[in-house]
Amino acid sequence: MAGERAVAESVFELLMFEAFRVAREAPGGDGGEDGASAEARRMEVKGRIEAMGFDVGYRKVERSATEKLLGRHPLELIKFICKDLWLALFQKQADRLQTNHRGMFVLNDGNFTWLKRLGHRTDEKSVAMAEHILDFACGILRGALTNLGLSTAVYAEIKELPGVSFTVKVK
Amino acid sequence: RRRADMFVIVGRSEPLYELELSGGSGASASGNLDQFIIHSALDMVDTALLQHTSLFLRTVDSFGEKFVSAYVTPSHVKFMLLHERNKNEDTIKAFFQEVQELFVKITLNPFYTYDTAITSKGFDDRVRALANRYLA
Repeated sequence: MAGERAVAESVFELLMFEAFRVAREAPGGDGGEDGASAEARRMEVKGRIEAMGFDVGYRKVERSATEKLLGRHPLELIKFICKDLWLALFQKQADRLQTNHRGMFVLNDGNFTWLKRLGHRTDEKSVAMAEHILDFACGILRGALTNLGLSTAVYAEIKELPGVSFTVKVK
Repeated sequence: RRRADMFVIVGRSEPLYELELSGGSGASASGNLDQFIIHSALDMVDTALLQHTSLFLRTVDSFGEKFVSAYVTPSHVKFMLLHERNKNEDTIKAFFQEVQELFVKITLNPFYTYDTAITSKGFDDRVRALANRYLA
């Protein structure tokens, strides 16, 4: 039987949170008391998590895109991301795609799977965790698009928990 | 009677994998020519891409009695096969599809740096086995 192996979602989440903890606590940066180096440290952690996401996205899309050529037009690639990649990663498709037809795309997900555990908590730890999750997700999108041949900048905003809006800017 | 001479996987910036299928004798002399023919055909792959939406591009170029068939992944990695007869496209396509599955698996492997030469013996063994099954 050609089985598709599956793992409990909670196992993946535990692994993801642990990866974030390692990214936060890994040596590097002086983690000093004053605001400047704390901010630098925060950016370093953000960069690390985004880079992890990039690697995952780059590789994952190889598995997700195997059937046909997607063409060179960014819109086709972004549509693929919204449907096929979203389904593979988040078990649902993105809800809405907007574009200005000049290289900017906004992908909306009103119920972002990876944020659901955070509920509506606004404490510092939850906010930090949400940020890690989004940085990771942005990295994944950027990595996937890069492997499909599109160079982009990706950032995310929480609209109203658990809704997220991802902005993709084609370079 | 062998049906194929050489199989190459070409990545974004460099060849990722090469398999000589034509046997040991006279390898270095004809080996370089085989590589040359395949790399010359790369431009033809780009041309063929403009006309196809399928991954299998069939024969993209020829050089004397030799033909180059190609297949491109959605990630724009090119599989190129140098072979002697312009026949049995289904067999060639099946070979490419099976190699694509191996390629996907190795790309998913975090111990493989993507877009670099594939040095895994496991990968090589499996591609050779596919070549024996489909192209021998």
